[in-house]
Amino acid sequence: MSSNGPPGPYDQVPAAQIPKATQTTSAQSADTAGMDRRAALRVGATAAMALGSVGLALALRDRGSEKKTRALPTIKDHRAEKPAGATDMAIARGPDPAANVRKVIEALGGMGRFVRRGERVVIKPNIGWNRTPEQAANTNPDVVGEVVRLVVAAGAGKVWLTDASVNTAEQCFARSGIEKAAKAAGATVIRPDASAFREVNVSGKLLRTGDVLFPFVEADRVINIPIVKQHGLSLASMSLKNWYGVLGGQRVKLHQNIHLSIIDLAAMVKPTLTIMDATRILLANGPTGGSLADVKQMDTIAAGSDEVALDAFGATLLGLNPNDVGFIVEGMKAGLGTPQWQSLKTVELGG
Amino acid sequence: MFRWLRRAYQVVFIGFFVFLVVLTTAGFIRSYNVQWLLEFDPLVAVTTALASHSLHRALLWSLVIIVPTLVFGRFFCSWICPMGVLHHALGFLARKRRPPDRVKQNSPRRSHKIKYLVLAVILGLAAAGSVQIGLLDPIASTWRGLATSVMPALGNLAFGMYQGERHFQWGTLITLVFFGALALNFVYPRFYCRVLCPLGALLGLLSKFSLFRIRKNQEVCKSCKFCGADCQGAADPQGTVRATECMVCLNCIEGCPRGGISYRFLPPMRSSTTKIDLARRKWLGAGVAGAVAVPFMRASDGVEPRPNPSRIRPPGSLEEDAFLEKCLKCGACMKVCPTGGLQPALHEAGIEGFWSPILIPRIGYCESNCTLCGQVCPTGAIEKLTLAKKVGEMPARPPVRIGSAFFDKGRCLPWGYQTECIVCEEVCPTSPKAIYFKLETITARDGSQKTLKLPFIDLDYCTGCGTCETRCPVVDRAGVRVSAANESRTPRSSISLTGGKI
Amino acid sequence: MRIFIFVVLAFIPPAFIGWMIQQGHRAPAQVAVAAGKPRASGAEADKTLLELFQGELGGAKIKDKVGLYDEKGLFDYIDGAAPIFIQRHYRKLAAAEMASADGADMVCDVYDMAEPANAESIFNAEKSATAKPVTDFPDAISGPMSFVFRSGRYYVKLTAFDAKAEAALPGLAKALKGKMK
Repeated sequence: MSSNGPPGPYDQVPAAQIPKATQTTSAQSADTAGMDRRAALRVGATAAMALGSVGLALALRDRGSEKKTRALPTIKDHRAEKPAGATDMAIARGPDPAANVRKVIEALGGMGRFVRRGERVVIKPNIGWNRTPEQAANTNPDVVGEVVRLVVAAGAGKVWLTDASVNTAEQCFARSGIEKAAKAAGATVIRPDASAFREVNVSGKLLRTGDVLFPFVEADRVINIPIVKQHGLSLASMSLKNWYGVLGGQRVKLHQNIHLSIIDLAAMVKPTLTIMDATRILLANGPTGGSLADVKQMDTIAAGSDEVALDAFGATLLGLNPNDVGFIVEGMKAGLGTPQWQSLKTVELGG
Repeated sequence: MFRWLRRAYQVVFIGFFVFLVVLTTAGFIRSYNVQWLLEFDPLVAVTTALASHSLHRALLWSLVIIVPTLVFGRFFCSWICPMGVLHHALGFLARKRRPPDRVKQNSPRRSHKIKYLVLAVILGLAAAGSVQIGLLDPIASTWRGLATSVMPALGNLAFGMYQGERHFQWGTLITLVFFGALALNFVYPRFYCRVLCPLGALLGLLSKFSLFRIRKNQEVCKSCKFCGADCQGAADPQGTVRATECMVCLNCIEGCPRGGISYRFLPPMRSSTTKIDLARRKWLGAGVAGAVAVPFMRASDGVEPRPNPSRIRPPGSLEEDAFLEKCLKCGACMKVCPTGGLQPALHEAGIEGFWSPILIPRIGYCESNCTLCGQVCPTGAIEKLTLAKKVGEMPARPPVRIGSAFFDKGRCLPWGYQTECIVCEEVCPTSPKAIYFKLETITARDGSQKTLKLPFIDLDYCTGCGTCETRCPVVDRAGVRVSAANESRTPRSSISLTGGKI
Repeated sequence: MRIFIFVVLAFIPPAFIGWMIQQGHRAPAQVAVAAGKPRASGAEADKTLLELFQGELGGAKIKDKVGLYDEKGLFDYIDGAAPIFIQRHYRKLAAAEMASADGADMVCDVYDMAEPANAESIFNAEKSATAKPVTDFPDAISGPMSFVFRSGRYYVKLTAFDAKAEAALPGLAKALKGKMK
């Protein structure tokens, strides 16, 4: 331990050379009392921090529970009771689309058959595409407006109008003329965004769960206003196919098995009433259309609660054999209706 | 005497740390908890808890460091931290000869405040949901440096002796950063620990409450300043001891020739200071800058909504947002992956995902009966999977998918070159195989008839493991490749309608 | 006192490392992946399937013959509904047009799903919201013009076309189930 020269680091100076600590004075003892209190505070503060850290860590800890699968809602059956002897399906032809709508609804027994006072109703036109009414890719706005007016007049408590468009919603809702017509008639127009969807049970043969627009989860009655169009994959897009528009998520996957998917969706929704718009129909290059040369003026409206029957009728307008259309056959097999629309109690009204 | 104990601790802990890093190899790892030190790391616990609002259970171990630090001060930095040990050793080698020069080297500087600003930025980023400690946390950096730089270099030198040759994309960058930090010791010792280390800053803040501190006996002091000659923390024992910088290395105690320095319980307040001379607006500003940077990073990154097809994550990974809240980029999964397929991402996962793990099937595939990456992940960014869950049992229970394979028909030998092959079908590990073939008779160049087996992929069974791409005989761009689409962790990524979820 | 602290501190690292090594040395628990059970061999299973249609069937009679449909044939028979059976490893379908004791038309589809788990899976998938369970007949549901049940690895769909046939379905179902072992 001893070394030559001045002490360097780590060399110990002999204890005799280190001055002793001096005696404490009275001033220092008063100081000591103060120091005791400060010491207690310091220990207390440290203890508090320690306990706080432990508490916080325990409170935040991952309880490791499996992600709880909450029960998903199921969409209710929206069908209305059919009064004895009521008409199943009505077809009207004439130059005024709104008048046609009034005629078919009257033939079916009036909107009161389908909508009770105070019920919440969602109306689903086809607003899929950024097209004008003349291009026949979306439902005719005059038809939509008239349906909304009738539903409001029947005393519905809430009338939503919505569709999950393929093109950008703002432009589809505007260019189709539907937003303006629906608002004027008194509907609450919902332009969907990411937060408008809820996960639900589809409980179909193929589809188990999916994201659906919230009005379809909350409404008491659902009214379908499709347009009649040719479709590249499914051959036609009419009533049954219109339910595509309630979906969010990765609905583009449904094309992998389009016919079964369409039926699963229609079976999930179980709508109250369908008013099929065949004022102008799209004969080719559907479902987007674009060229007026593909459009044919048919001035027809058909309505009823049997979507399979309505679609079979619509197929004939497109020049198709209903037995060739996969979803019509699947719909029949699934018990959603019959393609023999003539065998139902049908009323046809001229112009 | 306690200084020798401190040295023993240093040797033992870094030895054990490196031992476990070496042991993080398929076949050797057994049940060793190789991530113990990251689980002790308070910075990991604090940032991941801030970002994900929950504390991974294993990170409760950080209390073993936090509570003693509150009582004893910043002992972790010189008794346990492996990076600290490396810097201490290098600092020792780089130190000046004469004590007065050493005192100057180890004196406090204004730049020592910078680490508190770094901590503020990191906490700000974490509060906004982005965990970015991977770059600067000493333990995560040491892990990454060892796993992706030092061990591969040694292993490749030793001709693949213990793990086989390993290569990591742009590993040179990791090497430069790791050794760069170490090289800073030649500026002055423990440069990184004093100036940059956010963990040191966090422990320094906790030391404000320390009850045991270094104390200089003023009456005995002759101002020789030998105490400060080897001070690791630049804590100024010769003046007023800075308790937030003191690393309890105990060098000052031995250094004082008069025995005037001691480490004691509740020394007088005036003998030490816990003031960090940093204006409130500076560290508050740093924190806010960190938090505000997050939406900017996310908006300009282009990762959402078009994820990079090469961002194939390890099986068991959380969905990307949650994953980035937890991944430390420590490289443990890359080290343990038996095929070496897990690689540090560069741009594939955006700025936030820099150096996070992605599978590069051309380098290595995901071994179907292996769940090691989840086993070693310290924060649960890659969840632990059971084998049954990973492999699944079709059709009742689908497997965990990390992506899907697709044929490049111009490169594939049967499709593009009329040449027999189907190695991909042969090595496909699923049962039934996700790759199947159909026979087709074609007319070859010389006019003869040839029957080829043409391969197809069944998306319902393909897990994206990449064995096909790794083994495809077409070198460089393989004839069959894997992209991240259809990975099961991201519902939006699913391509196939099977399973029935839209 | 100092000695005591020194000893305690000296004790911590070896104790810690010893504990870690002891924890780590056990081999990790790995649940062995269950080996898939071997499927029933083709010819054997076909014979068993066809035998279900022989003998007493609650008064019903086969009209023509029992057709056997494998995966390819299934598409011809039920078209778009085929994938949901194929996904569940169905082995073969035996289908026959039948006539009840009083001459009403019925169709009987018996799916050999290879494993009871697959039969359970398809039964649950096809259950419609409007079907009702059947008293005294477990794992069966009846709906308008239809009776569906599962037993072991078989999944049976009986379809009627009028009210007379609808009444005969439960009898046929019971007879078939009795033959299934």
